[in-house]
Amino acid sequence: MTEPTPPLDDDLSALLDNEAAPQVAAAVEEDPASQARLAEFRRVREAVASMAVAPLADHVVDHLVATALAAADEGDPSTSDGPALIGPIASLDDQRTAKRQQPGWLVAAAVVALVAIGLGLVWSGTRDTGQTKFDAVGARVNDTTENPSALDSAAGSAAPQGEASKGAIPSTTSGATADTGTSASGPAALIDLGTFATTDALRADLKDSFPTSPPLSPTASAAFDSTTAHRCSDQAKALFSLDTEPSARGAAVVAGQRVVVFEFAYTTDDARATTLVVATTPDVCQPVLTFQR
Amino acid sequence: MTLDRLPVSEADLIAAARAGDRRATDRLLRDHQARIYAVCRRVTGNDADALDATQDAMIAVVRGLPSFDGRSRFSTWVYRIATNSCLDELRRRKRRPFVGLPEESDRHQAEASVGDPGRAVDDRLLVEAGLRQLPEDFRVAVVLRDLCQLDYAEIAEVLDVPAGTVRSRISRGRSLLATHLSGNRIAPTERPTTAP
Repeated sequence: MTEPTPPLDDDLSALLDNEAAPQVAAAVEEDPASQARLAEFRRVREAVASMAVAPLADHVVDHLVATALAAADEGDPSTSDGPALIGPIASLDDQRTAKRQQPGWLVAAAVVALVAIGLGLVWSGTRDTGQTKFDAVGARVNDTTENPSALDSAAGSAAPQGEASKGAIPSTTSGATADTGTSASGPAALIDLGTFATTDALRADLKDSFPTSPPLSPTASAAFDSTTAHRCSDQAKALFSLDTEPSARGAAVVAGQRVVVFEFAYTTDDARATTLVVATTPDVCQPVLTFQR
Repeated sequence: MTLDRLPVSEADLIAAARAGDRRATDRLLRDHQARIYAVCRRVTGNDADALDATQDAMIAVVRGLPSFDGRSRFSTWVYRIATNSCLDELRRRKRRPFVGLPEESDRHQAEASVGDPGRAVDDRLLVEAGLRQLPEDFRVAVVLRDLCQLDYAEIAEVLDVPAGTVRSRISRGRSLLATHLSGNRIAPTERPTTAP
């Protein structure tokens, strides 16, 4: 006699949305593993549902509406972008209007600037790791040639800020672009943060400030080489769209797992200075803890 | 009866807008801008791209009004335009997924929490990062379902795909998010997501 097949993920996910066949619910009641998986999906659904988007400011809405009405007055509907956006997504054309394209000279100027920065860093020879700064900048140049939008952050003032050139939409955002006075290279040593049973315990310890503990011992620091720390801080910066180097770096052990911890200066939309704390695993830089204070 | 003084049905607004009534068009845009921006913000992952996509979508709504035939709900039609606009924005910029800036409500949520003020912000940041890392198809489906509360049939209409595809995309998106939120780098392999 064969065991009944447990519900598939598709079925469990659909059950949450009241879109599953009736027998799925009955099958879940008989299978603890399915119940656990359903609970996981429920947590995910609730997490996404809780992420309500803050409404746009009135003046931004006014501008968007006015621009839309004006654009409608300008163009012939039969030849505009409208039908392409209205049509099936599968047949969406990648239509680019001239006013939304980045000027070629701007892209070229940003690439030249990045190469110049890279050459300057190589000559200064300040990098203390096996990987030269030119390698890192060179990689970023290669990245920007494939991903022109990265130039917006990489080139700094050379690029238009978040495509605000589109009808000069008032900015509703303040990025983490303010110079907070931290050095470009950040602190060198990893602070020994200690050992914790859970990420909650680590969070509680760092809730108010980064400790001024002594740096890791040479033995302990062997598990966290500078390349790893730089790599993970770079990934954290990319993940959270940060422009500044970490103001503090530490290492901890959480539930037997080594983690690297970074503190970043973080400016909120309304220009408040906060601190973002990110802890990642050292191997693939997977975030395991993030919070803001 | 004027649009300024008396409440009008959406059908009246649409009819008036299609007839060229600018005030009606203005009102329709304002009524739907929040849902357009919400989709764009969560699909594109950052404020700047979301604003661009929102603007494009609103322009497309205005220009496409003459061709709106009423076979679908107006909101469904608007969601389709918004989604197309977001995907167009993503493809045009060829961005990798990344997390945008926290919204003001993040801080208010954190301050309002008792005992662990940082927890709400932690979760939002992680969820936002997780959404960014989802493949576009999965991200759109999850956002339309869990944030916009559309049912599978509506999502299928928005995306112009079968309902079974919607079901699968939502399931896979949630599965990947669950993996991300748990900090587990290895996706679960024991549970099949679809029948063999």
